Amino acid sequence: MRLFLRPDGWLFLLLLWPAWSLAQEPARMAEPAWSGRTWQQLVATAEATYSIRIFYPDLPASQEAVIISERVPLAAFVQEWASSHGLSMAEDAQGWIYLTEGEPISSQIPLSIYAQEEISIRPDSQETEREPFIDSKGEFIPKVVTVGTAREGLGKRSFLLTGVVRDAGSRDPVPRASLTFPDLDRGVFTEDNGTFRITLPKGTHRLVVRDFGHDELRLSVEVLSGGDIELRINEREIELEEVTISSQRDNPIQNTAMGFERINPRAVREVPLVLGERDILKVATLLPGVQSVGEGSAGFNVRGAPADQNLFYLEHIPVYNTSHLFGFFSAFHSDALGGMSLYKSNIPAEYGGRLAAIFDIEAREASKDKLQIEGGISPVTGRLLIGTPIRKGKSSAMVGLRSTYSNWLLGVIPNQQFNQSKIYFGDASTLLSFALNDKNQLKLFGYFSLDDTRFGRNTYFRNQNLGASASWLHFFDDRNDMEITLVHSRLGLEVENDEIESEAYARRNALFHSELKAAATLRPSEMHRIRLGINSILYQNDRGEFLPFGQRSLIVPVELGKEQGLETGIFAEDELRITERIGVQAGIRYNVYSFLGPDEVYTYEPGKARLEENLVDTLRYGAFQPIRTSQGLDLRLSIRYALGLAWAVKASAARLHQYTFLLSNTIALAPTDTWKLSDANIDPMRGDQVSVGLFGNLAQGRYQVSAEAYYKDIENLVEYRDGANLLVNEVPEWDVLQGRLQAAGLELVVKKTTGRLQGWVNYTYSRAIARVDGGQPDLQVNFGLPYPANYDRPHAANLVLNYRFNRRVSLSANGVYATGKPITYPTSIFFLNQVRLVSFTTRNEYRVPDYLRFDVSVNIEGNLKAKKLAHGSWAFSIYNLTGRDNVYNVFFSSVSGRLQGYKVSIFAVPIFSATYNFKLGNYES
Amino acid sequence: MKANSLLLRLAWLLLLPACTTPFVPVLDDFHNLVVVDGMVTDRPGPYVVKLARSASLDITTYEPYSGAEVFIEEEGGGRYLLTEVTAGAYHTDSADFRGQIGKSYRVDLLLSDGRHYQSPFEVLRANPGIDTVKTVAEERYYEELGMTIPGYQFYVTSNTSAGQEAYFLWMMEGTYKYTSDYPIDFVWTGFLRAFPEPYSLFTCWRSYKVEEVATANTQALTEARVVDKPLFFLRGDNKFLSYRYHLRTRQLAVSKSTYEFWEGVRQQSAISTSLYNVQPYLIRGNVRNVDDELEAVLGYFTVAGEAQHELYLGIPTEFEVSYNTCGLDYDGYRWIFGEPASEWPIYITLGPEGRAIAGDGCMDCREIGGATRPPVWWVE
Repeated sequence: MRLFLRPDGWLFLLLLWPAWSLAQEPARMAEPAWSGRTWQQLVATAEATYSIRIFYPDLPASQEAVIISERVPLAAFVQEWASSHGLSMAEDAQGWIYLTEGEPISSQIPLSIYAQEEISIRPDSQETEREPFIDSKGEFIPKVVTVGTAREGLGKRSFLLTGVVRDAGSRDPVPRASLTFPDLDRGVFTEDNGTFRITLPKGTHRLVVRDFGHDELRLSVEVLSGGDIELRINEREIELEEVTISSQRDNPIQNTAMGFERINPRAVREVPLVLGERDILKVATLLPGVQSVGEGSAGFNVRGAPADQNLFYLEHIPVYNTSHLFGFFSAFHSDALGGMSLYKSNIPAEYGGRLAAIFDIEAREASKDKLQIEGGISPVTGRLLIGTPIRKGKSSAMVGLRSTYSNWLLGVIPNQQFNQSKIYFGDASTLLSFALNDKNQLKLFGYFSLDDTRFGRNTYFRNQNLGASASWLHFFDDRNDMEITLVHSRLGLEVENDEIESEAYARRNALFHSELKAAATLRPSEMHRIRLGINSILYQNDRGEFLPFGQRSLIVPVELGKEQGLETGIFAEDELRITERIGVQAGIRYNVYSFLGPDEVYTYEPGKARLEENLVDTLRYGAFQPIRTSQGLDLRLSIRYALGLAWAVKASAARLHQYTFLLSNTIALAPTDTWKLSDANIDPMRGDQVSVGLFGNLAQGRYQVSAEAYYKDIENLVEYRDGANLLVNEVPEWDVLQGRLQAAGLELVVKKTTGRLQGWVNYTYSRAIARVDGGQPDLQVNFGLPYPANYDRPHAANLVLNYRFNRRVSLSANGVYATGKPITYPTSIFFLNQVRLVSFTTRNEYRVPDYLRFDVSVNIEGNLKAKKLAHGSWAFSIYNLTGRDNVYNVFFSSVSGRLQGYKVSIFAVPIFSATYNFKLGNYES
Repeated sequence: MKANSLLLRLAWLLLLPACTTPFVPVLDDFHNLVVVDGMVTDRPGPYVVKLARSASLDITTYEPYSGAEVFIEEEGGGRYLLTEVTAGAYHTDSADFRGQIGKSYRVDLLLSDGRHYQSPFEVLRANPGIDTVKTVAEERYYEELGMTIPGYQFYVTSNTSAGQEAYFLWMMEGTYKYTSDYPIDFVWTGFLRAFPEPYSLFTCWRSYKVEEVATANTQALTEARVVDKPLFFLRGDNKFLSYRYHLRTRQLAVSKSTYEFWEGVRQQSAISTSLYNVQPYLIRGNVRNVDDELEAVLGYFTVAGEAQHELYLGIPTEFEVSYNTCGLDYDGYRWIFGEPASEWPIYITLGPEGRAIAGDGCMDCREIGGATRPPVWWVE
C-alpha cells in the first residue's frame, strides 16, 4: 500500500481538528469541475482544497479518470468509488478518509455518513451504577456511560465531569490523551496523571478519546449530574500500516518541551530488576544525559552536573536522600508511584533552586471505587500496597509499605562480623485523596524512609527522611484552576564511628524544608496556557553536633550550629502556539534568597582568601535577621518550529539559581555528606543552559528520533581546597572555593513506542570541565588549571528493549555503556625522611576502564481467568548477564615495598533474582 | 570510613559477589619533579637535606641532584652552608649549628642548573615528649591476601603540650634480631671447604624505616594531649618478632602547615583513592622555585621539636609468630660446581638428607639486609 503524505495542514489539523472538523464538514463537496482527473489527482485536489487526507491502497484504478456529474458530498462520492473497487471506507471526526481492502478500519466510524442513528442511547441509561470500564476493542456501537443521578441534577443545567484515562492493560494513567465531544465542539487533554475535567451541559454527548499508541475509544456520556469516570483505552496492538493518528500533545514534535522525559510505572516494570527490586530511578539512568554515580553510591549526574544540582519531589515533598543502603536501592517504592517527570533542560519556571534537573514524582492515587491490594517478595524486601475508597467515588486512601526482611540471615551466619552487623531499610507512603465537591480537591501525602545500618561493631549509620504535604486544588472552571500546597520535610542523619577509640565520634544533623506554594493555571484557549504563582521555602539546617563516642574518646564536642535561609520565587510562564508551526514557551522566575540569623558571620580582608589568617571581624545577627540577601532573575525560553508533518526543531535557553549544596569532596557521594546553605561568605550558584534539538516521528510515529545538543555554564560552582576535611567542619567557607563548570553534550535517541517490541537506544557524547582559579595559589584547585569533573564520562550509550510475546509473557533487556569515570592516579614516588611517598597527577587526568553491562528479565503473569481472587506474577532477572567485572574503583596499596594497584568490582558475576508479585483480582485489575 | 571496605562489607552482608583484583593502570606520562627532603630539629645534628628527582612507580632508582648549594637560614640570624656528603645528601656541621626552640628556620638552595628554591621561615616548636608507646595484639584482614594476620598494633600517648593546639608527626624506626634458617657447614668458592664458624652468619640485626607516618593534632581534643594514637601495625607473619624487636619512635612537634602536608601525604599513601575518601591531589610542599611560583616541587623542609621513645619487645605471647622457612635443595647441590665465580661463595648446609643449598638469606642472614652485630645502643 502506498501513502500520500501532504505536509500542509497536518499540524493545524492536529491542534484544531475538534472545532474545525465540525465547522467545515458541510462545505466538503466533490465538484463536477474535477471530472476528467484521475483518482489520484482528484485525491490530491481534495486534500489540498479541504486540508484533509485520504489514504487508499495503490490500485491500477487510481490512474483511471473519474466523472463527477453533480455536486455531492465528498464522503459520499468517495464511498461510492470505494465500493465500486471493493474497498471499505472509514472516516474520522476530522474528515480524514481511509480506504482499506476488506473490513473498514475498526473504531474509525464514518461519522458524517452514518450520523446519529449509529450512536444509540441505551434506554436503561438511568441506572445509578455506572460502568467504570469501556472496552472499545471491536465495538462499533458505542456504550453509554451515565454520570450522576437525575435527582442530583434537578434544576441545574451544566455539570463538572472529572475522571481519569488509563491504559486498559497496565492501568497506568495516560497523559495528554485527548477527549473530544464533537457535538459540543468541546475538548480537553488529560494531565500528566491522566486526569481531566470538563464542564458539560445536561444530556447525552458523544465522546471520542484518542491517544498516540492506543486505540480510539468512542462512547456516549449521559450527564445527569456531576461525577467522576474512569476510561480505559487499549494499547494499539495491531499495527495499521496505513495510518497512525497522533493527537498527543506530549508527542515531542508537537510540544515545546526539551530535555523532558516522562516515566510511567509501566516502564519501570519493563526494565530488568536489580536484586529483584523495581526501581524508577534505574529507568532514569537509562535515559540520555542521566548517569548514575556507580553501584553502591547514591546520586545522579544530569548533563554534566554534580548530584546536588538535582531536586527530587515526591508529591511535592523534597526527597534529599533518594537511595537506600548507600545507593544499592532506590528510596521509592515503585508500586506506590504514579509516574515521574524529569526536566533536564528548560525546567518549568515553577521550579527553582536547582540547576541541573527536577525529578517530579507523583504518588499513585488509589481508586475511589474499589479495594486494591498489591504486593511482592524479592530476595531483599517485601512490599505491600493497599488502596481503598474511603467514600465511594469521592475519596480514597493509598498506603504503600516496603521493608527489608532478610536481616535474620545476618544473625544466622556464624561470623562475628555478620552477627554484629545489621542492615535495615524501609519506606512507607500514604496518599489520601478527597474530591470535596465539583470545584475542590484535597490531597494529603506522607512519606517516611529509614536506613539503619551497622557494620561490625565500629560503624553505624541511620538516615531518615520524613515528609508530609497537603495540596488543595481548586477549579474556577474547566479551563482555569489553582493549587495551594504546604510541605514540610526533615532529613536526618546519624553516624557513629569507633574504629579508633580515642577518635570515636557520633555525629548527627538534620535539614528541615518547609514550603508553601501557590500556583494557578489559566488556559485562555486551547493554544494558550499560563502558569503563575509563588513558592517560598524555609530551610532550617541543623548542622548538628560532633560528639565523643564511648568512654575513651578524646574528641571535643563540637556544635556545628544551625543556619536558616528563606528562598522565595515568583514565577509566570506562558505556553503559546502562535501558528501551527511555531510554539513558544517563555517563563520568568524572580528569586529572592535571604540567609537568616541567628548567626555569627566572619568578615575577611577584601581580595584575600577566606581563611582564618585573613579574618577581620565577627558580626552577630539576631533571629530571622537577614544576613545576606541575593536576588536572581531566572529566565526560560523555548521555541518550536515544525518542519512539515514529522519533524520539528526546537531551541531553549534557561537561567537558574541554586542556594543550597552538598558539602562533599569525596570521589563519590559519601553517606556522611551533609547539606549546606549559601551564606554570607558562600555565593549562590548560577547556571545557564542553552540547547537545540531536532525531533522527528518516523514510520507514521512508530519511531521517535531526536538529537539534542546543549551547553551549560555554571558560575560559583562549589569546590573545595585540596584535602579539606568536611566531616566536621565548623567554618566551611575556609575550605570552599568557588569556580566554574562548563558542560556540553549531544544526545541522540531512537525510540519505538508501539508494537510488541518497544524500547529505545540512545547515545550521548558529553564533557564536563571544572575550573577553580581565584588568581592566587590559596584560591585555586588543581593549580588553577581546568580539570574533568568526577562525572565527566564522554561516551554513554543505553539500550532498552521489551518484547511482549503475549499478554502473559514478556522479555526485557537493557545494556549500559559508559566511558570510565575520571580518576587521579599516583604516577611517581619520592622519599621523604626515607619514607616512600606517592605523588599524584593533576586532578582526574586518567580514567578507570569503561563500564559495560547487560541485564535481562522475564516477566510471567499468572492465568488470565476473569474470575479469581488474586493474580500473581513472577519476574526473573539476571543482572550483569556477561559477568563483566566493571571497575567500581581503583585503589593502591603498598605491598612489600611496591605500590600495587587494585580494582574493586561489585556484581562481577551474573546475579539472578526472582520476585513474586501479587494483587487482588484478575490480570486486568 | 573507607569506601572500599564499607562497600565490600556491604556486599558480603547482602551475600553479593564483590571482588578486589590486582590492576595495573596504564600510565603514559611520568612526572619528573624536584624533591626536597630536609629537616631541622632541636636534637643534635647533623641535619640533612636531600635533593632528588621523583621516580616513576615501577622504578626504584634514586636520582640525586649533586653539586647544589644548600643553606639553612635562621630568621634574623646565621646562614649555615651544608656540604654534600653522599650524592644529593647535604649535611650541616653539627659543631657549627643546632636548632633552637623558638627560632625560625628555612632552607635556601641553588641547583647546579641555576634553579633557586626556598621554603618559608618556620618556628621550631617545643615538644612535650612521649608518655608511652604500647602494643596491643590485634588481627588485620588483608584484602589483597584474602586472610587475617595477627600482629601488634602500636599506640602512642603524648605528654600534654603547653600550647593549646599542638600538631604532631610520628616517624618510626624498627630494629629486630633474627636468624637465618640454617647454619653454614661448607662453602664453595671454586673448591669446597668446611665453613669455620657455622653460626657466624646465623644471627643478625636489621634496622628499617616504618613506611607509615602517623599524624595527630589536638585541635578537636579537650586536652593538648594525644592518647593512644595508632602508629602502625606490625605483622606477625615474618621474622620481625621472632626474637627481639626494638622500636624507636620520633615524635615531632610541627607547625599547622607542616602537619597538613604530612596529613595529606599520609592519607594519600595509606590507601589512596577510596571512593568516600577525599579526592587525592598533587601535594605541593613548602619549597618554591623563587623564580617560578607555579613549578610543582615535592617534599618538605620540616622544622620540628623532636622527642624520642624506645621500646623493646620479646617473642609475643598473645599470638604465634609464623613465617615460611627455606626449603633445602639437595639436587641443586650437585650443580654448584658449574656455577660461575660471580655466584660465589655458595653456602652449603647439612640437612637431614645430606648436603644442600638454599635461597638468599637462608644461611647468610646478612642477605636479608641485617648486620651480624647489633647496633651500639642495642640492649639484649
